Order: sequence, then C-alpha cells, then structure tokens
Amino acid sequence: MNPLEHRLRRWLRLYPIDQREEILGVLLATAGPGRERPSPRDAADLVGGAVRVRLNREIRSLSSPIWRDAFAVLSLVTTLLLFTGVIDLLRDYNGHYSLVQPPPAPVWPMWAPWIIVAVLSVRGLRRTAAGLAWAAALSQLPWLAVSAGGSAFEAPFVYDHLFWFGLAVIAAAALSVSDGLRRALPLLGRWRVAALAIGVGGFAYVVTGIGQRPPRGSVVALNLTEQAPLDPRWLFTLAPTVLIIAAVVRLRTAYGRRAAAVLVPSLAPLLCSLTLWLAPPDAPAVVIVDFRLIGPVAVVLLIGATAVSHVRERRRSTS
Amino acid sequence: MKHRSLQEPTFLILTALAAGPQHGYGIIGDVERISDGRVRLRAGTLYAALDRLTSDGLAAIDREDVVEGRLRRYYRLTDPGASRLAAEAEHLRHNAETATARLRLAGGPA
Repeated sequence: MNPLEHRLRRWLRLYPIDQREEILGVLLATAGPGRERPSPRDAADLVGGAVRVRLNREIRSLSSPIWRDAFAVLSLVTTLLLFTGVIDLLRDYNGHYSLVQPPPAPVWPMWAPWIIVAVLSVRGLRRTAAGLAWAAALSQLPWLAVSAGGSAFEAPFVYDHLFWFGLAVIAAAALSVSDGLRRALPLLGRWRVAALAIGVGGFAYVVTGIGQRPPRGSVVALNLTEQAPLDPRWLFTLAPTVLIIAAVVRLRTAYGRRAAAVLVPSLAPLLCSLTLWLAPPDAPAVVIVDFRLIGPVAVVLLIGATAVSHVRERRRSTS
Repeated sequence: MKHRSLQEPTFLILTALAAGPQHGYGIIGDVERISDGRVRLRAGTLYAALDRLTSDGLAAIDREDVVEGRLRRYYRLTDPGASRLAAEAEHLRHNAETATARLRLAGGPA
C-alpha cells in the first residue's frame, strides 16, 4: 500500500463502509503522479461529502427501529428526571436549599402526572402516556406566563425555568415517537437501570436539597449572574449528571450512539450552567444562557422530523 | 408534485447517466466534457450526490465489477430520474429562451 492510499483510507473512515472502496478507486485514479497525500481541497471535499452522506442517511433512518430505541431511552431519562419535581413538592420548603437554579416550580399539576405517565408507559399504553405527558408539559406554560407577569421570556427566573419546561417537552415528544419506558427498561438491562436510578436520585438530592443544611447557616443558592468561580459545589451536580449519561449511553450500539446524541443536548442547559460556575464573575452570562437552550430546541426539532418521517412512512405503506 | 430546481452538479451527473450506465470515474470525466471543462467534480461531492440520487430513486446501481482488484460500481438513470431530468431541462430551456428574447428586445448581446 503506497503512502497516498494509506492516507486516503484514513480519510475514508468518515464514510459508510459500503462506499469506501469505491471512492478510494476514484481518488487513486484522479490523483496526480507522485502524490503522497490528498490536496487540502480534496481533503475538505472528502470531509464535506462524508458529512452530507451521513446526514442524508441519518435523516432517512429517522423512522427506523434504531432511532425509536434511542428515543425510548431518552423518554426514560427525561421522565425520571421530571420526578424531581414531585420529590420537591413532597418535602418541606422551609430552609430549601438547591444547588441547581431554579428548582422546579411548586405546582402540583406540572409534576404529579409524570408518575402516572411512567406507569402507563411501562404498561405499554403508549398513546395515553404520551397524551398525558403533553398535558403535563404544556401545563407549565400558564405558570411561566403568569409568574413572569406578562413578560415570560424576559424574567431571568422564568427564563432559567425553561430547562424544566424543555425537559418536559422532550419527554412528551420522545414518548410520542417511541415505545417509551416499556422498551427502554429491557433495552438497558438491570444494572444500567440501577445506575440510572442512582444518578437521578443524586440529581434530585442536589436539586431539592434533601437532608442538606445550607452552608454557613444561610440559604445560598448559586446564582447565574453572581458566579462563584471554581466553586467546588458544582461537583455535586456534575457527578449525578455524568452517572446518568454513563448509565444509558452505549457507544458500541447504534441506538446507544444516537441516544447519546440526543441526551447530551437535552441536558445542555444543566451542563452549561455547570460551566458557568467556573466562569469569571464578569463573564457574559446572558449570552451563554441564551446559547444553552439550542440543545433542547434541536432535540425537539429532531423528534418533530421523526414524527413527520413516521407519518410519511405510514402513508407510503398504505398507498 | 413541484420539485426544487436541481443544483448544477446534480443536473450534470443525471445528464452523464442519461447516455448509459457509468462508474464514478467515468461520471467525473463525462461531467467535465459536458460542461466544457467548467465543472470538475471531486470524489466527495460526487458520492454525496450519488448517495442522495440513489436514495431518492433518481439513479440506481446498475452492476458492480472488480477491475485490478478495485471495486467499480456502475450507476444508471432510473425512469423517475429521466422524467426529472427532462422536466429540469425543459425548465432551463424555457428560462434561457425568455432571457434571450428579452435581451433581444432590449438590444443586448443576444
């Protein structure tokens, strides 16, 4: 194998396996004599082509079982994270201390239905579970509007609360296009589900502050605009988040890689606020806060595209 | 159903396949000839376009050969691909005629 072929083979790993040998033949045939490496333009074209091929195939596979399984896993994680709201309601608010700001709003209809959603989904009542999940997710809208006093998306607290709203919408959407918890639980297996439960428990622990005393005897919540640089408390939130991701992400499986691709952006607001804690106090927090919502919005759009793909597939099979 | 206009490389690839099944290297050479040397496709662009065209049903794999130990895959134009190419050619012809006629009226270079 000459040096050019060796280098081209490395570039061609970006392509699906069925195309590699064919493209290699063309690249070697079109390469000038004595060339040992592809030109920068050829390399850029190879990368651009690989991105387009991968995207094209991925979009076409949205209605496949692989993506259904990825969304089932996403629905499990997001539904369990929403239990945090229920746990928060069940505890005493006096001395409430949360490391994640803001904690879930204390409104029963927003959170209580998620327990029923989970039970329905485990029992295989897919549509009923998805319908109730949408009702619970959308029930947050009046609260967001009322508590902001008409300027819902400007008030910082309400804006930050969009993390919880986004999580609820993603859960409802994922339950709508997959077989939900009934599929996700056997897919992950006993040990991973146990690790996920511990991760979610840890997350709920730092959000609701169960059993915690505020440090130095005062209720101090980490505030996005008044960051404490290098505050060690971020580790308490980072650890459960990493455990949740590690429990469900199986990078060696096709559905696992896709589950990672949708789970990480879904949790992006949380991960971004963790990085904010490390930022200097005069960092442009608002810009980063705006940016962090892109992840959940992208995931919702992807699930929307999947729903459209399902409808098209169904029409094609009936016509 | 109304389609978006084809991009020039895609149009030229379909035009190349209209003459008969061709492999990737053959398509690159043919597109260069058809466009009078103006469009020189690179492998990444060609195979991204072929992947999309085959998944859209406008082109299909005709056969595979192994030449000097290397895989050579031949692509052909499908019936929907031929219809789409004909519609696009007609659309371009209409636009070109309109532009030429208007330039004549304005006393331009046509």
